Amino acid sequence: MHKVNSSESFQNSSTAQTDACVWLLDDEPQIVESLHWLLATSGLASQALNHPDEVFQRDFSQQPGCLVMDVRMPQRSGLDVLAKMKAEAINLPVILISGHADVPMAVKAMQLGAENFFEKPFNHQQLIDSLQRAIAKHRLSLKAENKKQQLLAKMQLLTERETQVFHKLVAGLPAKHLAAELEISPKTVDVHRHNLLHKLNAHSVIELVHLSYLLKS
Amino acid sequence: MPLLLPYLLALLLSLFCFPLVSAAQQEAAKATKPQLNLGILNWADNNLPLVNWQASLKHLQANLPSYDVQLHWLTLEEIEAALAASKLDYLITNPGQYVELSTSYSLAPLATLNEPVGSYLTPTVASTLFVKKTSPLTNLADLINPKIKIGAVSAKAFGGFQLILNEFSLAHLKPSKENFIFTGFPMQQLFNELDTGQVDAIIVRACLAEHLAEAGLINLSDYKVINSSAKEEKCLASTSFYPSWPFLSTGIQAAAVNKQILQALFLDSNEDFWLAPLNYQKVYEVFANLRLGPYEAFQPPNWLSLVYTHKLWISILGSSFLILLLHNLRARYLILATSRKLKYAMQKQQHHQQEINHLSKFALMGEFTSGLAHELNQPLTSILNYAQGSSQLLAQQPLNSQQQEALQLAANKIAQQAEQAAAVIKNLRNFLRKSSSKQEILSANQLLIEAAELIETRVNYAGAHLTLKLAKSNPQINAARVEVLQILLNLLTNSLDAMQTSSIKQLVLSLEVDEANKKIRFNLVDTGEGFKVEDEAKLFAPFYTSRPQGMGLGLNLSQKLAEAAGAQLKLTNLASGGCLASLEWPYAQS
Repeated sequence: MHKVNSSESFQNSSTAQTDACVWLLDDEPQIVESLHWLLATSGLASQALNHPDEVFQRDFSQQPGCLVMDVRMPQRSGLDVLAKMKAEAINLPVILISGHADVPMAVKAMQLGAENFFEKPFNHQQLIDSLQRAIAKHRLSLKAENKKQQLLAKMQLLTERETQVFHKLVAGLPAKHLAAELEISPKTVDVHRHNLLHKLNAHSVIELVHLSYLLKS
Repeated sequence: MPLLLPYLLALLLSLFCFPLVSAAQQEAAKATKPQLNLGILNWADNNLPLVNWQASLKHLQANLPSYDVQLHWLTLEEIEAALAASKLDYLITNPGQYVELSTSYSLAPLATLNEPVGSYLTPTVASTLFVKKTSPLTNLADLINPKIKIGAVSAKAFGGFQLILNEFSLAHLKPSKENFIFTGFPMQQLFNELDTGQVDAIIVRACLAEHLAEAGLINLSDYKVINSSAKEEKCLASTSFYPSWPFLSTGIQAAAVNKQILQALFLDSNEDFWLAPLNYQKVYEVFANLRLGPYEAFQPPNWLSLVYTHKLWISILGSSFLILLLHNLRARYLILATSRKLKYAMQKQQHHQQEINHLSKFALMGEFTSGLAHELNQPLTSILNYAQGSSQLLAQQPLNSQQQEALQLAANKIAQQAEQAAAVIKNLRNFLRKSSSKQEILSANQLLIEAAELIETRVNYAGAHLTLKLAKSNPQINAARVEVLQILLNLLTNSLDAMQTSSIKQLVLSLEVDEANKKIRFNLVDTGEGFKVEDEAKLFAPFYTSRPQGMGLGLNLSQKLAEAAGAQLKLTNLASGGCLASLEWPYAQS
């Protein structure tokens, strides 16, 4: 498949989103090449994937992006790839394109969580708008994921007792009851609370509640 | 008015009564003498001097004072009618009628007329056949010639035509009707006709000529007699002499009356007009020979009598013929009606098949065009991408060098992609142009390659692999290129569909040359699921398909095309899985 340099862009303005990357998966090199060029005119960097299996080998959590994928490919159907991505919980928005679109195909794509579905040839503006929305969504999602990962890392620093105290606190138990349940003194509870607030870089129990929501997401 | 009525009635009565009274008076007058009714044949000849014997009848009346002898001049038909009504006591007629009537009535000859012919008295009758002295005709056989005309007075004349006819018959000759001309009476005018050449021969009564010669009317030496008989009599004759007219008793009157009649006849001593009856047997012989009179019943069987005698068989034959004829007609009608129905059904079937062929052509074209649409869609999508991006870039004037380069690239790419699209269309046009059903000598290897090229896109999309095995001998077939391609493409498409769920997608299209049978086989082996055994019978049926999106026409059309070209199409499930499609085509004789 055609190799495309992802950094290439001829956008004047500062709207260039250099950190984002559009992944292109189509068996037709001409389509990939022209799409790459088109996205570049809109300041969108893109990179071609050579095989459907590459979707499952790459890590897409490092930069916001979106996958533009053809439905009919000799190796594997785009819908198939999408289904597997859903099954493997790969967090990357997908826009499907097809030369032979029909309603059942579009419905299936949307059910499998595709961001959008375009029939070839497509209107570039609609595609770019759709891509930018998807990238923004991915960016937010990656940010939240990132925070969660950081929190999870911090949580690893907590002792077993501190973790117990954390969960009781965010459940809203008063210190006196908490001490009674854990059969420790209220004084010790205060020590644990102080330590875990410090470890989690939080300043209040309210903040701890926010963190616990992040963990559950 | 009421006073006048009795007078009127009296007048009417007297008017009615008068004829009755006068008739009664006449009856009374006649009743005084017994009446004898004598019928006499009113022969057309009777006013000739030949029949001056009628004076003798006056003597008869005079010699029978005690009887009222009534003379009735009657024609042949009237005589017969009078006899039937028993109105006649006696009858004088010619010998012919006597013989004829003797079968139905009891007639007894009392006397034979001694006929005065000129100065002769003769109780006999004969006929003479005259020709001119100078005529080349010498005997009866000479007369049997359609050009010869023989004059006679009447076909019914005994002493004339009938006797001569008898002579012909005795000589085993058969003159035709056309030989005779019947002139009617008087008989002597026949000599004029002979003299003027209107007829070649004439039939007259014997002794007429002698009589006329005596009277100076003709010269006997001008004529000669044909078939002259022995001159036992005074007159020239061509026939024997037969007894003359008989005086007949009808058997009504008693023998005593007959005796008185005979006495009265023979009393006339001055002239012997009546002689004792001659034997009429000779007349019977003539009639028997001519099959006339009483012998009519014994006429040689003619076709009408044959019809009558065999009427049962004829009617059976006729009705069976009629039945056969009717049966034949009915059968013809039924055959006609059936063949018309068949023809209609065949036309309908043909029309139906044409529709199927048409539809399946569409189906096959559909397979193509979906591939072609894909091939065209790719360059079009690329071109659109470049064009849209370019217009977006151009909106950002002024352009930096990098952007200008990008535009240049886009323009090149657009041109390149447009060329690719044009090439696709050119290929399609090439294919359609050659789509005529013209038969030509084609290389089988070339066909294989073309089919592979046409299906390539689909093979790639299916992720399958197609292997071609060409024949080394480069065999040729006589076929319509597009038809072979249609069949091959249809088989390839079917194989690709059958391999959708297969893990290995291998297609092998090979060419096998069967030298012995002068045939080549296109063999296509796939690794698909094959067909279900129970579906084998339905494989080639129209509208039978195992695919949800299929029309079920591909194999049907393929088989039709193959059969029309003298080829054979077979599908076989392979033991190793998959299916072998074999298209057998006869060699082209180069």
